[in-house]
Amino acid sequence: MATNLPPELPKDCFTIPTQVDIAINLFWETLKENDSFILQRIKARKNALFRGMMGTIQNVFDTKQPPYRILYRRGASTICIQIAVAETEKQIEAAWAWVQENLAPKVVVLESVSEKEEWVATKINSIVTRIDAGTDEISIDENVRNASRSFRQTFDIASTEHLVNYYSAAYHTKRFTSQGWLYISENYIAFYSFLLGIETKLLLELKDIQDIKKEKSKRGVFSDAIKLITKDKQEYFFSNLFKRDEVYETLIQLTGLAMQRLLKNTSLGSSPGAEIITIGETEDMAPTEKEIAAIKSLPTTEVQKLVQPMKMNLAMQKQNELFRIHFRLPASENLNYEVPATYLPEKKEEEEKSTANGNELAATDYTGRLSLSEAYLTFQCLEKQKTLEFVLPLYTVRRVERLNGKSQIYSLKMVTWHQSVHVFNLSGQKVQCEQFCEVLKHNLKNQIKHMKDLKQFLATCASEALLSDDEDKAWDSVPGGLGLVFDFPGDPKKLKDRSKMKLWKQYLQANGRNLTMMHAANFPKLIRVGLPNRLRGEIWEACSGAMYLRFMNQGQFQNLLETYKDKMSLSIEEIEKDLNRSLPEYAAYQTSEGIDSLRRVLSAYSWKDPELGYCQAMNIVTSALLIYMSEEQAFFTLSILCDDYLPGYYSTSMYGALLDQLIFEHLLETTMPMLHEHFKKADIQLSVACLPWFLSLYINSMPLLFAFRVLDCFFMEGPKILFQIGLAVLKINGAELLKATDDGAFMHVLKNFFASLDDPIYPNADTAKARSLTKFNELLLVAYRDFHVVTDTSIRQLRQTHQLKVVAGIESFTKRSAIRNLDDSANLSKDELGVLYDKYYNAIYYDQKRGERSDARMNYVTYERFMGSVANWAKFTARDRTAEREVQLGIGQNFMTRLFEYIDTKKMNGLTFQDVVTGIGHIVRNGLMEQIEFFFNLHDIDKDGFLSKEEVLQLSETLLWLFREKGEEGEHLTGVSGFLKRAYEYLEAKPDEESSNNKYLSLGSCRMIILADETLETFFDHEFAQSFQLTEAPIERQSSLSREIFDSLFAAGSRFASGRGSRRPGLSNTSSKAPSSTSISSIIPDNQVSDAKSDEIGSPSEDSQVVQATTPSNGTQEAVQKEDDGDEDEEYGDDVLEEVDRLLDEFEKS
Amino acid sequence: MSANRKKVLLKVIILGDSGYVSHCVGKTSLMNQYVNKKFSTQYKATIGADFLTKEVMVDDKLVTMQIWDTAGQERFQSLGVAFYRGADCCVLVYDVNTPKSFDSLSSWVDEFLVQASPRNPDSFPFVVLGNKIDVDESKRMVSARRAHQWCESKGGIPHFETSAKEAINVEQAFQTIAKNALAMESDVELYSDLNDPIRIDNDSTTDFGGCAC
Repeated sequence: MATNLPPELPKDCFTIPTQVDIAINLFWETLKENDSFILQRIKARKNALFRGMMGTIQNVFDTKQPPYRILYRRGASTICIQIAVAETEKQIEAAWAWVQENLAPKVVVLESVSEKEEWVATKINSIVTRIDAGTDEISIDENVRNASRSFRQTFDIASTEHLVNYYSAAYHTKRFTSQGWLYISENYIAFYSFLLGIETKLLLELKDIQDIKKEKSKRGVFSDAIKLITKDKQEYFFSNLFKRDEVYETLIQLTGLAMQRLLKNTSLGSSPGAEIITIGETEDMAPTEKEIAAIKSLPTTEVQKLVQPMKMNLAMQKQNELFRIHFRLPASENLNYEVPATYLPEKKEEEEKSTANGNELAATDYTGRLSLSEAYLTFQCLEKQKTLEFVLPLYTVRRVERLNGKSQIYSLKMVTWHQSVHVFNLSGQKVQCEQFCEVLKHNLKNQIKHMKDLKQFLATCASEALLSDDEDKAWDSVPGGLGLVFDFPGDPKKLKDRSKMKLWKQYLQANGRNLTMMHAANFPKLIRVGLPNRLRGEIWEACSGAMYLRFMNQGQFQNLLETYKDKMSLSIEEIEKDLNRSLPEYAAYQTSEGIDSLRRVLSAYSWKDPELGYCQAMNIVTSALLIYMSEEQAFFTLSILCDDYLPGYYSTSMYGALLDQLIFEHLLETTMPMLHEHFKKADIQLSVACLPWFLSLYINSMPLLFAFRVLDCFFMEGPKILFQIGLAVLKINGAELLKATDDGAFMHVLKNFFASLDDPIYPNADTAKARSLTKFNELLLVAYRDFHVVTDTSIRQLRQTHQLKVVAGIESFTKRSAIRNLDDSANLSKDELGVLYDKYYNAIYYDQKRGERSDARMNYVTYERFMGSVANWAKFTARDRTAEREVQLGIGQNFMTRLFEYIDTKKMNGLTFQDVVTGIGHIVRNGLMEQIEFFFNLHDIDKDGFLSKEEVLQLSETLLWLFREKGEEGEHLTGVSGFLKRAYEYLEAKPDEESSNNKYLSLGSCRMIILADETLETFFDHEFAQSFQLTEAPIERQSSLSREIFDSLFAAGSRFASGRGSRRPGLSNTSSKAPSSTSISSIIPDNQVSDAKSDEIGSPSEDSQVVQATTPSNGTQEAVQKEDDGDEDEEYGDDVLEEVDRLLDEFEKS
Repeated sequence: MSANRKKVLLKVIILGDSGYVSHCVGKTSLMNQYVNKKFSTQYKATIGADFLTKEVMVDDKLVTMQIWDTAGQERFQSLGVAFYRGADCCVLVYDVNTPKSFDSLSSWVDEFLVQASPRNPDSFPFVVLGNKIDVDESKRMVSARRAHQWCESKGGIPHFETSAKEAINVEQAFQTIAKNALAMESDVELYSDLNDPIRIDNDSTTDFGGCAC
């Protein structure tokens, strides 16, 4: 351990070496120095006014530098290198001591200036990158480093928090407008302003934000403002945002991520699809620990890789997502490289040579963009009049060569598995083209291994049979859906199946098949008329990207079935119940063959995604898929549906379905306001009818044949089609619906409509063609024609902007439901359970890594955070983690571990919500005797019913640790030392080993000793139980901050006191008083802090405004709201100016 | 006075467990037995909500009962609740052979009251049905006495033991449901002037103390 090299390496002080010029910075004074290093402090530290001015300056320039720093001197120049900063003298002293011990002696030995400098820089760099691995401290962007540090220090936020960006902004409340900085990090949005002695601090958790709105600034002139609304209906208004839209986009993205985590986090109990087992595996180590260990074991050079600023990560993430979604690529793909290019279709190769010479583009060429991911090459034509898009999986590429044309054109020829030739002229700069080819080469190499799987894969593709030389024979061996045996729905003749098949044969011959099928101009048309039966399944999976997934995971479906052959889960039970109620009208589902098929696909999926498991409606969708698809095809298509097309539809909270319902209503409002108004007036719940449309993709609502036509379009065009169809249904029935006055009538109209989809629209028309048009044709027409504004992009955006609104409702439902489903409420009241629930999931939320599957159990690390939020003594403060408290920390953690083990009754090395409720419920309800026994048992490590000497000592240490914040009155101290003394007196031999020299303390004696001491008795009687805060704090949202806000409030108060001579007895002592007042405030117990907070509830929008407080000499605190006498629109009103005068006046006097 | 003014429509919601055990409590079956006089073990799974209507005579008045059936799976509860609002009676169904389904009744009451926010939560009419009494008596897990006691403790909720399969007590139960719903409906009519749409997320201040007139 580090203890053998005193002084220990202090954490969180060292910074990446940065240059500073000490000549121009007059605000620093040197406290200590030696030949190589200087320790400095901000001059204004002790002077309230100066500090105020410094603050103002710092605020304006956002250089809120910590008040202490250590610099390395570069010879004689005034340019120094900053190597450490700290907020407190203690921290910087520790760093200084370390520098003195470890760096100074060695620097002296080194010869040249540059050698010295390099050595120091390397040394510090390696420390920083080691300690701060993965944090913003090693961001490559210095601005991010600085801003992030000042953000984290100002708001007391964990060092692992990444700052995304910061913006100059004004924060408005009813009374104030303060100009300052808006910080956006992964989990928080914060505002800080320190202007003329008034500090404004605001910290909101992103997960608590329910709505984000773009607004005009208060004067209504500029569109530069944003309004945030939190779940508790508070509003926060920020203006003067120069990059308002960027802030908005960033917030939408981040809150979206927060929401995803939240939903995962609060999903109902454990995974319904998880195997039911009694003994759990405990391999789930805290990921953070794992990661830290991994990082520590890496050689320094690797750790030194600086992290990308969060903002760039987010931008990249977004770009990747758009790219993936557009081409329906698997989630593992990332956009590696892009280059502008022209695609020259195969046949035109001869022509191409001539045109290339003439530098003219042939009419059949397509100019667009070539993009490359790990396993796929995509092309998208960007010309207005032309349509062509395709994906070339790299594993289907047999050969790539560079065509050596005469001209400068960088031309690539690719030959695919099916021997089709693709020629691309790259039109970027030479370097760009070369880099692109490098990446392509590299990625191709990585994919070669998959090529061998192609043959067997293609044998499962219907298109291969269709294009085979011996078509009839080939069809026999291609697996397909239940329709092959039980007939496809509908009359093939009426559906013109044969001619459709012919058209597709031509199309596929010209445009590639299955994995390499291109989307040419006539592709959508071919699909909209309805797919032919035998190709339907394959086109579905090719359009949706399920085919790529199936290719990459061959065998997964069978493996899952094998692995979980006889296993049970809640989902399996639920599936079993629904098998016979899926699509009973189709012949196959009246036989065991169809039912078994359905069972296999649904159960395999529930094992694949146990968190989702099985949701009703999946049975209906899957049974429809299985008519046209093999089980394996249906399995992967179901995956794509659940993950990409319909995210969150079938999850335990079904948030996706709720979200799309909200969007659907929004679209109705914008496209058919009259109808929307009518529904609102009649209190008709749209969702009653429409939710099932979306959940079962209309399969449950329309006659099957038409539902499949909708599915054809759906797989090709994405989820937008569900909205378009839905809106069209409402529009066509508009007149009827306007007459409906209740839910029942509303549903009746729609049911009738769906039942009549096959009816002709013009039964008496002159031409046969007109007579053959059905209501379904009309529906499609209206959907496409009248609602073309609904695009996949707009749906995606709407999903992003609306998702926040859904969460709150789901959260409160899952909360109620989790509390309701508890087996044992341990006699806790509903409110208490609610508080425990919030704290439990809050802790899990912040320890959950993004994108990771949430664990239903809370590990020790998270438990520590959770306990800290429940009981004050369990909060490990920064002070607890200092070197001087190291021993106590050990004792505390020991106790916490024992408590963890006590609560973890099932020994799963993780706590469920139920565990926590039972455990804490017991402790809180324990009476005096029970509590003593509880502590006794907790420390009876060998479980022999007696406390050994060592165990008695540990019990006393635990008590001391619990009392560590009790102040120095000494009662507790005396109590514990008395206990220890007495306990040793009462040690006795165990009854069964009288002769032994080993002496023990019995429970009886222990009880007696404790009862003899009033302090201890009180503690065991109720103090300990009451230390668990199971009542709603007045402002829960800022609980973590309340202490700090109070501190600042206090400090600001004393600062301001200097500005208001009239309220203060003495002037001269303010400067020296400031630090001491801070220490007073840290002694004040938290309940007083919350009192102070609750005073502010009277003006809710002010709750985080740090208002000036005065500190009357009698020692009681009262928060005094600043008088509001100015025009609220005046940003720098008279009162502020007056205040400046006053401050300057004071300054002169002192 | 109000009942004759227009055709009376009674909205009845059927709730009950089905997420936990391998048997549903039989909500759809009960509804079908009552409306269509049919029993089947094979229905299509209810996605979201669906309803059937039946015209009945209650106290010499012809009323239309709109009986709403809900999706079985628990996860649907987070979304299939919009139609709770405006309900005139809530029918709670448990399976006499599944204790858990009986234990859940109070949660169903709570959840219903939260989601439906009826005007008078204390006097809102509930009816409790213990279904599946056709199953072998030896398998019964919830006694009539126990259920009765619970109903009494909740302010005297009417209680019936039924069998959708054998059509036992179904007619009688729904008669009571209709009667109690109608009583509720008439109450509402009296207050119809004050009837502003109640939002689910309304402030707690609005639904109490509303009768300050």
